[in-house]
Amino acid sequence: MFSRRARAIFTIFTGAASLAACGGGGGSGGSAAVPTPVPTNGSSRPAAVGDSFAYTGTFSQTFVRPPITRDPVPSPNPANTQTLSYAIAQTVTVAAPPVSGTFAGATYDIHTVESDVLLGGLKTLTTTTDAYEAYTPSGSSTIVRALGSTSSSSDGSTFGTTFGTGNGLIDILPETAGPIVPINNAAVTLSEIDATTQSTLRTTIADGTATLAISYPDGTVANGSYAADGSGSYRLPLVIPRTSTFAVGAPRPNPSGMPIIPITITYAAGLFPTPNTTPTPTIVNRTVAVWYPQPLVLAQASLVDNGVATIPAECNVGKYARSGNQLVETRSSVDPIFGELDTQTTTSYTVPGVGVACVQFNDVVTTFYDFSRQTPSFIRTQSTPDQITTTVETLGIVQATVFGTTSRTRTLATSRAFVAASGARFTAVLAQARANRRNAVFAHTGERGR
Amino acid sequence: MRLTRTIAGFAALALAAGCAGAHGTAGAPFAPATSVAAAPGTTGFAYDSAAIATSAFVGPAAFGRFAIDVVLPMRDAEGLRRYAAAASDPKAPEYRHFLEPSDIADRFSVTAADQARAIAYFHANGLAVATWKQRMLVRVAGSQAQLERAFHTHFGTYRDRNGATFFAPMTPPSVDAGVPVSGSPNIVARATAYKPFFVPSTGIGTGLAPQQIAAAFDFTGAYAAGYTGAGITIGIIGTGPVQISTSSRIGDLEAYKRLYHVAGSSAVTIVSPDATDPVVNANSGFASPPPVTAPCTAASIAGAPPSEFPTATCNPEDFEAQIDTEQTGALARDSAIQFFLAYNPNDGCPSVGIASPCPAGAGHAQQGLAENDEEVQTAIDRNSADVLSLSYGGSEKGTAAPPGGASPPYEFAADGTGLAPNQFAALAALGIAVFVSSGDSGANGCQGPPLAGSVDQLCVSYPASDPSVVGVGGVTTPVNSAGQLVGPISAWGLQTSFGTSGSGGGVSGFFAQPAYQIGALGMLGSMRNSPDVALEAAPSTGVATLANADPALGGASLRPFGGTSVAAPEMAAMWALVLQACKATASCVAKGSGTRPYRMGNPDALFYGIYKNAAAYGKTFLPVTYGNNSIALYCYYNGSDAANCPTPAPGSTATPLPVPIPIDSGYNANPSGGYNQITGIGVPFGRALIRAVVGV
Repeated sequence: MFSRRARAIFTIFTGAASLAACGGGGGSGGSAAVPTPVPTNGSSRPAAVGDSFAYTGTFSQTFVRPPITRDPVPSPNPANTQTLSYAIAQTVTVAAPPVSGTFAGATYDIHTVESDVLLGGLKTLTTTTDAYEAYTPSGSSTIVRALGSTSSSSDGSTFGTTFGTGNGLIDILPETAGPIVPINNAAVTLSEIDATTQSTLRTTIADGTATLAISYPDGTVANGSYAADGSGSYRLPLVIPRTSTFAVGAPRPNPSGMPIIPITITYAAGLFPTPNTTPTPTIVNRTVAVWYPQPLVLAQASLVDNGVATIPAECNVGKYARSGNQLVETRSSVDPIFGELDTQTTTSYTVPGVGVACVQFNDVVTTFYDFSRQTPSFIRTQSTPDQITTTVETLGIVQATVFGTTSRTRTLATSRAFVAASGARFTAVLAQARANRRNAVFAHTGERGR
Repeated sequence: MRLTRTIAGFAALALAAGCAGAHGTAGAPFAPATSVAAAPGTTGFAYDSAAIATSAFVGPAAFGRFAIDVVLPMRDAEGLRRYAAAASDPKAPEYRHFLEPSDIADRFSVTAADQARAIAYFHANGLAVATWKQRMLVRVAGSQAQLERAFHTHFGTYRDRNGATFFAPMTPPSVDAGVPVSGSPNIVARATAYKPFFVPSTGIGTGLAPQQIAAAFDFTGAYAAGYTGAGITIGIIGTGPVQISTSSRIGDLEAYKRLYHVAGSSAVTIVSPDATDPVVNANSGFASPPPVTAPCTAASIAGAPPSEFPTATCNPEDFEAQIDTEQTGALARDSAIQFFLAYNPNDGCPSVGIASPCPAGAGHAQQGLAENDEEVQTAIDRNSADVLSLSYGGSEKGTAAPPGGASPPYEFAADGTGLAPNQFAALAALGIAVFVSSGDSGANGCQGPPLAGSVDQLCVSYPASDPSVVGVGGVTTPVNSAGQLVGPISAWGLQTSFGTSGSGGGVSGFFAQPAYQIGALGMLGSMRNSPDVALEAAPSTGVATLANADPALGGASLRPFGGTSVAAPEMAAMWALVLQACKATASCVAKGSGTRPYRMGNPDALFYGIYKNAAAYGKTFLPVTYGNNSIALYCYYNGSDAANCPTPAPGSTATPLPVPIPIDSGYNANPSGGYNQITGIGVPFGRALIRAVVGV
C-alpha cells in the first residue's frame, strides 16, 4: 500500500521510466502526429537542465477489511471497503545536481511539486521532491540509475531515500526488448522525520533483511531487525527503561497441517493485560499458520522491456502517442514481522522524442496482522488477511517544455509536446510505503511512559 | 469528566436511623415535622421525584452547609429556543443576529423584579444567593435548616438501585406562594446523570499525536492558509482537575505541545464559579476546588484503583480534562482555552452520602456532571467562549423527567422543554457553537451511565441530542505517523471495539426533529437524530494524552484514550479555525452583527445545509460507509443488572469487569454514504470546511 506521501515520491520524475540523455529505443509514436519542429533531443528520455513537464492523473486507494464477526453480526454484513480517489497534478523541473553530499554523483536533480486532491477537494496534500539520477555511459549504452531522493510534504514530514549498491536501476538505454539486467536488489536506506520530530531510519540490505530504529519525540528509541529465515523482532521501550518485544520466529513444521509461525509478545511489566497492575513482564505466545509463500524470499524484483505496446486509453495521452515502448517492473516483498505481502507493478510507456508518455502503478498489500489497530486484537490466529489495500495510479503527460541537449531553443506547446514523463522509483516506493506502515505500527504500540 | 471532588466546607452527612422518607421505598413512613408542611399555593415545584420513587429511604439527613440550584420560570422559553434556531439558520432573517446575556434576560427570562423577589425570599430565609446575567437560574446556599425552611421540607438520605446514596427532600419541596421559581435540578442531589465519555485505549501505545490528527482531517491545510484558531476562545465545561501553566509550574497543555513540537500560543485559563469568581458573591456557597495533586495511592483510597479517584488529600488529574484541553489547544494551536471548572462539592460518597473525605470502604466521591448547570450558566454569563466543548453526557431517558412525571423539568421534560434545552438555546442565541460528545455506548446510550431498566434499549445521550448543539460521534482513523490513512475510516463500533463501546447515536425520544434535519437523507423517524458529525474516537487507535506534566505531580504520564470525549474537542478546535477564518474575512463578518459578528451560532444548520448540497458535501465531508454501533449489555455487579453477570470465580475478591452480552443490532452505516446514526453526516475536513462555510 502506498501512503499518499509514498506515492507522491513514487510518481515523480524518476524511476523505471525516467529520463535519458541518449537516443530512444523501441518506442514508437504510433500514428500520432509527429511533432514539428522535430525536437533536437529525440531520446525516449529527453532531459536537460531547465526542462519542465506537467502531468495529471488519478490515484485511488481501496481498503478491504473482513466483515464484522462479533455478535450481533449486522445484516447485511459486507466487507469493510473504502476507496479514496485523488486527482494528481505534477510539475517537474530538471535541475542541476548538487555538487556535494550524498547525491553529488547525480546527473540531474529531478525537482517535482505534486498536489494530490482528495475526492474533488476534500483535502490537498502538496509534496516537493528532489530525486537524484545518474546517467552513466557503459559501452554503447547508458545506465540510468536512481541514487535517492529527499522530499517534504505539507503535512510537515520529510522523507529521504538512498539506494544501496545493486539497487536503483531504472533503465538501460537504448531500450531493447527483453529483461533488463542486472536485477535490482533490496538495498536501500530510508529516513523519515514527521511533524512531531519522530524519526525513522530503516536500512535494508541486498537480501531484504533489515534493521530499523525509531526515535520518538520524548527521546525513547525502538529497534527492529529482520532475518532471512523470516524471524525477527521489534523491541520497544514501552516504559523506560523496560522494553517490550514483539518477536516472530521462522516457520516450523506443524504435524497437523500448514507450517506455523511462532510469535512471542513480551510486554514490559505493568503494561498488560491491564496497565500498571502487573509487577512482572507478561509473555504471550501465539502461533499463526504460515501466510507467506515458501520458501521465503524477502524481496525480489524484475524489470522487463516488452517492446512496443498500445498505450492504455486511461492515460489520456492519445494526442501525443498511441503506442510506446512498454517497460514493466515488478517488486514483491514479505514483511514477516508486521505481516505483509506487497506486490507492486509499474508499467511505463516511452516514446522517442516524447519520453515517458504514461506510467501506471499498481500495488497490492495484503496485511495479516492488525498493527494499525482497527480491531482490539492485532494478531489473527488464522492465515486469512486482515486487510487488502490496492492502489492504482495513472499519470499522463499534459505539458512539457523541453530544451535540446545542445541548445536551449525549444519550448513545446502542449498540443505537441515532446515530453519526458514521470516514472517510478520502484524500490523507493516499496520501501517507503513499508516504512510508513511501520510507523503506523509504532504509533500504536509505543507507549513511552516516564 | 468526573465530578469527584471532595466536599470542602460542608459538614459530613450523619445518618440517623428510625425514619423513612415519604418518597422512599424502604422503612416506615416518615412523619414530616409540622414546621415543613407544604405551603399552600406552591405546587408545581419541579424536581427529580422519580429518582426518589425508585430509591430506598435510608434515614433523615443531617448535613451542614449546602447549595442548591433553583430554576427561575422563563417568560418565553419557547421564544428563546425559536430565536436560537433562527439565529443559526442562514435562511432566517435573524441569522447571526446574536444576543447578549442581558438580552436573553430581558426578552425571555424572568423579569428583574421577579428575580429580585426570589432573591429576597431566599435572603429572608438566611440563604446566600448567586445570580447570572441571563436570569435563568439562581444558586442558593445555606445550612440544612435554612434550606429546609426555604423549601418547606426535610432532607433524607436515599440509596438508589446502583447502591449510591444521595440526599433528597422527604416531602415535595415548595416555596412560599408567589415566589417565582419553578424547580430545582439538584435538590435531589444525585450526581449520576452525566458521565465523561472517554475510554482508555485497548492498545498499549501512546495514541495518535496531534499532528497525525491534524493531517488526517486536514487541520494542516487550514494551518497552511493561516488559520490556527488565533483570536478565538474555546470553552470547555468539565470537572478537571487540570494543571495550568504558571510562573513556577508547567501545565499539561504546554508540556503536551512541547513534547510533540506543536507551535502556537494556545493556553488554558480556568473559569471557576467559586468564591473568587466575580460572577457570584463570596457568600453564595461556592467552594474552591482542592489543588491538583499527584495520583492517589492505593493506601489512600481503599478498594479503588489508585489513579482514578480523589480524596480530600488527593485530587489527581483523570485525563478527561487533559483530553479536552490538549485536543483543543494542540489542534487550534493559537486559540485561547477557557476551562469552566465544574466543581460541585455536593457530591458525596456512594455508600454514605456526603462526607469528606470518603471513609475507608465508602468508595470515592460520586461522579458525574449532574450539577453542571452552574458552569453552563457561567459560560452564558461570561459570553467569552466562541466555541464550547462538552465531553460528557448521559442517558437521554435518565435526564428527562419520566413520561407523565409530576415534576418536570429535571434537565428537561418529556416534551423536550426545560432548563437544559433553554441553556443550550441561550448559548446558541449568543452565537456560541456547542459540540457535545455523543456517548460511548453506541446505540444503547442508556448504558452510559447505566439507566436501570433501559440499559438494553435503544437510547441516545443527552446533551448531544439537544437541538441547539452539535452531537459529535466517533470514527476509527488508522493512520501512519504522518497522518496518512493506512486503512478505512470506519464508524467506531462493533468491528473496532467488539461491542464493548461505540459511537453513541440513534433517535431521540424527546426532541422533535429540528428544521435542519428535516428532509435530510438518512433520518429515521420524526425526532432528532444523533450524532451530527464525527471525528476520531476509537480507543483502539486513540489519541495521546499527557497528564501530571508538572514534576510536582509525580511524573508525567502519556497514555492513549478514545471515546467521543476525544471527538468533541477535536471538532471544537476545527470550528475555531472556521471562526478565525470568518473573523478575518470581511464578507463573512458582514453577515453577522453585534460585538462578535464572526460567530455563527449552532453550526448544525450550516452542516446540514452542506449535506443537502451534494456538490458541497462531497468536498467537505467524508461519509462513513462502514460500521455498526451495536453495543453489548454490561452487567454491573453492584447494580440492578447484576443478574446478568456470570458468577465470579470461587475465591475471587475483586469485582469482575463488566461482561458484554450482545443485545440488539444497533445501527449500520450506509454503504452508499450519507447520514447514519453512528457518525452523522460524516467526517469534516478542516480546510474544506473553512472553504465551504466562509468561502475562503
